[in-house]
Parts: sequence; C-alpha cells; structure tokens
Amino acid sequence: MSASPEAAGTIYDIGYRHYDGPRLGRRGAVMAVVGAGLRAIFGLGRSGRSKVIPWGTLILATMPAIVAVAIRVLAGDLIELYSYDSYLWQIGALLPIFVAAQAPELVVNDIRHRVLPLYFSRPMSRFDYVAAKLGALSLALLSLTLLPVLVLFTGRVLAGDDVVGAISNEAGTLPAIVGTGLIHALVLASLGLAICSLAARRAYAAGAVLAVFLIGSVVGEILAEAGGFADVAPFLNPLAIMDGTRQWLFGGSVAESPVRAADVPLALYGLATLAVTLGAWAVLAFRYRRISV
Amino acid sequence: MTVALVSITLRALLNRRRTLLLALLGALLVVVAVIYRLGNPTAAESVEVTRRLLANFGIGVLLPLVAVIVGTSALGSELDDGTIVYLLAKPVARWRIVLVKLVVAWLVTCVLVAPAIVIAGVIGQEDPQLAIGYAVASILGALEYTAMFMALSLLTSRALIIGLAYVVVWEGVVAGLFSGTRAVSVRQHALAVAESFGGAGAGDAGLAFGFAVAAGAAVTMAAIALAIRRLETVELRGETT
Repeated sequence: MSASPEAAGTIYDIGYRHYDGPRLGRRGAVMAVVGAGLRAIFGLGRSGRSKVIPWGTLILATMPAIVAVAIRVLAGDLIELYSYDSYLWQIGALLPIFVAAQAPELVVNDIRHRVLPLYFSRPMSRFDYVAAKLGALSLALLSLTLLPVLVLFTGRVLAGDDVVGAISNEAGTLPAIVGTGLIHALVLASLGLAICSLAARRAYAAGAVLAVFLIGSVVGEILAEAGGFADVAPFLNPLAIMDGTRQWLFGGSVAESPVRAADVPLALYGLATLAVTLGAWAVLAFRYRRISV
Repeated sequence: MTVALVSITLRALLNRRRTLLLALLGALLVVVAVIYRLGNPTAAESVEVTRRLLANFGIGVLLPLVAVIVGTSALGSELDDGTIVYLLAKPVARWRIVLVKLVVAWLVTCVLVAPAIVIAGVIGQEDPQLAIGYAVASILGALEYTAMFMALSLLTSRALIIGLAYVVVWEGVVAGLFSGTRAVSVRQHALAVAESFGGAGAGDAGLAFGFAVAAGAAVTMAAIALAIRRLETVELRGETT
C-alpha cells in the first residue's frame, strides 16, 4: 500500500457499507433455513450427482400413480391397481432410502464443521434451528407421501366422464389422503433427523437410518408369521406403526401389512406413533441443548 | 512389515465407537432369537422362523451392513486421511497392502457376524447344522463383500454411501426379483452356500451351489484385481490430498 501523508490516528474509510434494507428478524432467518434445507434436499444448485437419489425416488414413487391413471384412462374401471389406503405401504421401501440419503445433508455437516455458532449468532434460537430443519425435511417428504396419492386422486377425478360427480364421489377421501401424508412426513422426518443428529459423518448417519428401518421391517416381517408374536411384530417397524395409525384414523386395511395379522386395539398404533415422534424430539432437544457453541 | 500393517489396520478398524455399534447389531440378532424361543414355538415352526431370521436378518442385513462399513474403511479411511502415503512410501509391494488389509477386514467382519449367526441359530432351533451352514455362508459372503467394498473405496471417495445404496437397492430389492439378477448377488451366493451346508431345514433360493461358489470366487478375484490395479496406479505427489 502506498503511504500517503495523513494525520496520525486517522481511521481510513475503506468502503464498508451499512446495510439499510429491511431486517427480516427471527421469522426470516427460520424461513431462510427452511429454504436452504429444501434446496439441499433436492440438490438444487448442486451437481447432477446429488440430484440422483431425491429425484429418482420421487419419480419412482410417483410412477405407479401415473401408470395407474394411464391404465384407468385406457382400460376404464377394469383394474384397480392401487387404492389410496395401500399406496404408501406399496412405495414404503423408497421412504427410508429418501430419508437416509437426504436427512444427513441437513444436520450432520453443521455439527461436524462446527458452524452452528453462525446460525445462532442470528436472531434464531436452537429450537428455531431444529424446527426449521424438521420443517424442511417434512415438506420435502410430502413430495413422496402426499404428491403421488394426489396424482392418483386427480387422475381418478379427471378420468371419469362426469368430472363434477367424480369430485363429489372422491372428495370424501381427501382428509384421509392429506392426513396420512402429513403423519408419514412428520414422523419420518422426526425419526430421521434424530438419528442423523447423533452421527459423526453423513455416511454413518445414512447407514444408521437404513439399519433402523431395514432391521425393523425384516424382524417385524419374520415375527409376524411366527405364531405368538403377531401382536408385537408391527411395532418393530416404523412404517407398520404409521400404517396402523392410518388405519385407526381413517380405516381401510392393507393386505401385506403386519398390522392385519396383529390383533391389538388400533389406538395403540396411534400411541406408538406419538411415542416415536416425541422420543425423536426428545433426542433432538437433548442433542442440541448439549452442543456448546 | 506385514505384522505392522495388520496391527495398524486392526487398530483403525476396532478402535472406534462404531465397532461397538456393529457388535450391538449382532447382539440384536441373538436377542430376537432368544425372545422368539422364549415363546415356546413348535419344532417345525422354529426351524422355519430361525432360517428366515438367519437368512433375512443375518445374511441379508447384518452381513452387508458390517461388511460395507469395515470393507470401505480398511483402505478408504487411510485414503481420506491422507495417511496412505506413509504406507505407499514403505518398501512394501502394493498388492501386499491390498491383500493384508483385505484379510484383516474380512476377519473383522467374520468376527462381528459369524458368532452372532451361530448363537442365534443354535438358540432359535434345535439343529446345529442349520446354524453352522449359515455361519459358513456368512464367512464366504464376508470375503466377497469386503473385497467388493474395498475395491469400491479405491474407486470413489463416497464409497460408503454408494455401497449402502448398492446393498439396499441391488441386494435388497432387485436381486430377489428376477432369476437373472439372482446370479450376480452376493446375498444369493451366500444363501446357496447356506442351503448346501445347512441340512434339511435350510430352504431353497434357486441357485446351484457350484455356480454360486464359482460366481462368488470370480467376483472376489475381480474385485481384488481391481483394487490392486487401482492402488498400483496411485501416484505419490508432493502434497497429501
């Protein structure tokens, strides 16, 4: 730097600007984290490789609905491929894959690279941070748990000759569709984030999520067919717990689900869902309270 | 030098919390078998349920999960941390590094998986031959899996994620669907071995024993050859990556 003659003690004006725009506050900070989380989950603004799993599972999850609608348009009411009740159970294998691949993106590296202080130096509490991440993952999961069923619904309404009549026929199923989608998304997001928040690296987080769902479903499936354990079996598999809750709230049983083999009050599934969700939130609260920034 | 190589690999693989977690997974298999047996099942049912437990949980989940973590980190963690250069700078042939690390990873996987399968198999039902058959299958499957995952860890820096995706998507879903894909699945190879050693109750998956062993050996050799070739072409540069 060339020295120019200045009086001693002068503070140079090197051009820092003030920010005079609107300050968005806590709400804005939370929405920004939700937005960034959604972009991270779907790989927007990232390389093609990080889009493969989220968009691949989304397409695979929606494909059966599209095929079912196409068949309905072409062949009429002859074949009933998927019902609203069983759709999520049928695509169930995709949900853990999506969560295992994308939930670690949200939380693991923030802890690993110790950037949480940067979040908390904004008008954002620890609770806000966790809530924003949960919100982002739940919203993203709705694209798997709600969108395909809505596609199926829309297709059924539009495929008929009498659209108005079809709407009034099918509208009664909407609360069940939306409710089921919301429950699945929120519970899966809570469970996934809780597991991921404990892992040191993204790959381990993915492995842990997969392990929980794989082992739960395998053991649940085996015990469902073993004489004395049919009543316990569904509670080992998070997806079966949610299926039971769906059946409790909205009715309609799924043939392949271990819920059908079990003989317990359906309200127990609701309780189990609540327990899983609250347990996951407790883990998150414990984990993020303990992290020092 | 081989002893030193074995000891650093063992230390890297075992000195972590995750080994405890992997051992807990094996313990879970045993716990399920114990709980099931406490329900006093009939003999015929217990053979069938235990077989499915060993096949679907032991060979289907426990073995690949342990193998993918152990197999990708035996060499992969040295690549990640950059400590591989200190190994490569030693006057040891690179194929020897690959082979020693593979054997250690294989043995660690076996120790974490096979005892759990034997114990769960013996507790779940009466016939020890079933348990031994699945243990033999897990030992052979472990070699094939660890060789594959070690080669994978030399091909990409995201070997664990890709390996997990392979385990879930290919081994878990696709390989069971068609008879053609069954021929190129480690899980099906292992199950064929289990059936041939496991006695009467071991079921049938539809792969001939001889074919499964030949295919498994071919995959293993190819993976080892690929891993050696990759490590031999690693060039030491000035800075560690």
